[in-house]
Amino acid sequence: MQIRIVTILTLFFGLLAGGGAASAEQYELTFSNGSSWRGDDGARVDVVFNEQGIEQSIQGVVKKIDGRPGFQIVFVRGLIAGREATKGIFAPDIVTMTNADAAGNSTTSGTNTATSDSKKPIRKKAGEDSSEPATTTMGENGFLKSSKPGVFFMPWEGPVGIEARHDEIKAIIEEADKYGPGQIIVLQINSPGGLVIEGDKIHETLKDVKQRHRVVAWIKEAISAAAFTSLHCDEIYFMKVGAMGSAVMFAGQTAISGGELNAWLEKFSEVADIGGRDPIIARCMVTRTAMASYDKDEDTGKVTIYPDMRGEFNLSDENNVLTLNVDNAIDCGYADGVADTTDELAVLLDLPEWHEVNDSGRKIHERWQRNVKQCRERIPRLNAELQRNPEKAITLLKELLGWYSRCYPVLVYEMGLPPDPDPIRRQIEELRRQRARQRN
Amino acid sequence: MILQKSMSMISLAIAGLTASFTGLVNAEDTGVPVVYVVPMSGQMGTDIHPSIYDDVIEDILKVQPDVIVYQLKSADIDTNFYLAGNDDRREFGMAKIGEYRELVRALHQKLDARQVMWVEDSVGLGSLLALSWPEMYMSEGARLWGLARVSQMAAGWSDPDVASKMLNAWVGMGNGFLQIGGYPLEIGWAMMRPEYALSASFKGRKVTWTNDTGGQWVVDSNKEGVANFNASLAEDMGLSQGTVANLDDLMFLLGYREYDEVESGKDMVTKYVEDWRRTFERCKSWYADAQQKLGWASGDEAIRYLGAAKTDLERILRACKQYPAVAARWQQDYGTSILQLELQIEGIKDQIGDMRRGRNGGRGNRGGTPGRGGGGGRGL
Repeated sequence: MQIRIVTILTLFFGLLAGGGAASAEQYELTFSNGSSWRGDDGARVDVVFNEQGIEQSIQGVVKKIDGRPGFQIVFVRGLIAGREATKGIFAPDIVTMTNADAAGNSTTSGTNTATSDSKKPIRKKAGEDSSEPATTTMGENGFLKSSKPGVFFMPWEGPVGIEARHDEIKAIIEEADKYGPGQIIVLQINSPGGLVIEGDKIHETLKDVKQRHRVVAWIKEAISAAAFTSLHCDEIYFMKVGAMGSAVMFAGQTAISGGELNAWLEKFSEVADIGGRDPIIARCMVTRTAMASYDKDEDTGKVTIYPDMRGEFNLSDENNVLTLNVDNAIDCGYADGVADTTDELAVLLDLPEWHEVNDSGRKIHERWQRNVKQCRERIPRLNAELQRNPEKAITLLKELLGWYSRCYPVLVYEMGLPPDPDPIRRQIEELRRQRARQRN
Repeated sequence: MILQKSMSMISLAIAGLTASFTGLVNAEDTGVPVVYVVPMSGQMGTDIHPSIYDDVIEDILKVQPDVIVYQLKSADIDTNFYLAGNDDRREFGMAKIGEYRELVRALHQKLDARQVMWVEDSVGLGSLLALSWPEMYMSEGARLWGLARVSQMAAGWSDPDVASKMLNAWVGMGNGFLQIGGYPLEIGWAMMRPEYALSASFKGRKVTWTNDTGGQWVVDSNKEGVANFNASLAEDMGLSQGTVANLDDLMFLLGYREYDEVESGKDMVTKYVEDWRRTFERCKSWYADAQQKLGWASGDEAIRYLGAAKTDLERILRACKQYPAVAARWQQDYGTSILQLELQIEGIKDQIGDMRRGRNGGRGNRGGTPGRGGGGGRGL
């Protein structure tokens, strides 16, 4: 029943939107004094606004409204200093904005219609349901269902194992799982690489999730462990500035060798393979001496990759570890396309428009990044306080123990604290005993 | 040499034709076009910092110009050999490739007017910015040099595989700038890696670049140094679309015989650079004062001088928070981050508190030691 009501309401709003006379976009803006304006592109308006503390006005035609809620810019074409020009006015600077008829007479807009959502410009195109807000309902199969096709989007940024972790990937997968199999998970990757142990966890999880969801890497920077993560994905898209590769594993100052290197090469090959990519190229990211070149059939575009330099196009010679950029990644077939914006990515993903099913991915990412930031700021302070106020040692050490639970990777892998917090627990106990003895 | 000259002539002729054609179209359709000049002058990472360009972007969105010109003048050195040692290393571009990448992406994505790069001079990481726009012009005598800095960031690794990993990671990130500018990877490799040669072959107007000396025109055959371009070479090879003396010249080549220049961007950037640099100079003075006061902080006057030193450090902290450029230079020149400054100030506050409560205990001037109190938490 609930589903039917939602469907009817959606249809009703769809009809309302479809019933709009203009094919242009319709907006609704609410200003700080509570007044509001509603209209289309091409509407004639009178705008009174503040600029650098001076109240000014302009009469003209609305060309477009851009920007995020609360920070929209209204572009009005009209006379400025006696010359026709387009003026961008920040919505927060607008005092009043009223519709003017062709003769230039103003009609006041409705007031006090503001709701918290009305600050957001409503961009509707007649006859298009796609700009309607999506609704989520419970499907008959027990999974949640979004009314619009969309993606589960999550930025995955920073050093792997510290800021970019397996845990966040797992969390976004769990969110996608609520909607049933066949979801699109987009990881926006921007990482210089990091810890091998994190890579192992990611490997198992991504291998598993690929059975039921479509996993996409959208690469700004995917170096080392981040390249390893990206290679798992069903599809790889590059931003124009993107780089992926350089996955030599090393400890201290020395690269792994012998059996360890062979095992890593095998694993990388396997990952490339499960991502549907040629392992020859992947191996060049792992060790300097591996080589790759390719031929490309001019008619069919078919790429033939060689583990040596016999191909027409060189990718990696015996002196270099491979890092791919847009041009060679796409030409050799390692990347599926280029997208600099979410709209461009939506086209490549074959979606009618960019739509995030919900913001859980962004929230998961932000939550962990905030935690890392707090930890990085707090621990040095805690250290300093501990030195300055040894009498507060128990409280401070207890707080440190708390940080082990909240932000283990920063403490251990970045700040070099011992992996096992047990000595800290014992230190607290010892301090308590000392104090008890002193009291007695 | 003959080929070089004739190519220059041809380029000029083509540019001239394009100029007159586009000029006519614009004069008829839209009247006088508006150009917005965005200066990118000085040190990469401080003078050229995303914080000011966020404001510039907002201004451009308001102005809605027809053309945006990025006027790049950022040279780490003035002599003709990179890292010659006679320039002030504190003024070298900072190795913040991720930050520059975000800046380039923001300018590309948020602004939809025609965007043109005008290189007045570029030696060092500024050349990454220069190559981030497909439409590039250079001033006569301008340099497009110094991308050896990128590979130098990967120096210091003895293991050949690890060294190659670091080198190729940095060069790959550097090449991302050339890719957004539409330049081929071969140019990036030659400009960033000394051992790579560079030559070009021409077939009609199409230029094919290779990292060897087998092309019709050898740009770089030196295995010890990276490929660098002067204005004339860049123009001959088609990297730069023309060599210009001033904005009038540039606008003419862009096809605009007359134009209105909006100067608000210039004013904003100039003011920003003057402000942060003046503030940084003040910080140096405050720091010297703080050190002196900490030295005097003993006996009956201890609290007074500690308090005064704390005030000086708080001024520096406020400046670092207000200007990321000041924070970056403070970190680079004095080795102290914002967090370490805060810890230093908190240390002095505690010390004053202890003294007031009569708990001096011979702690001395601990809080005043530069750089202490931070240290990332090791040794807990």
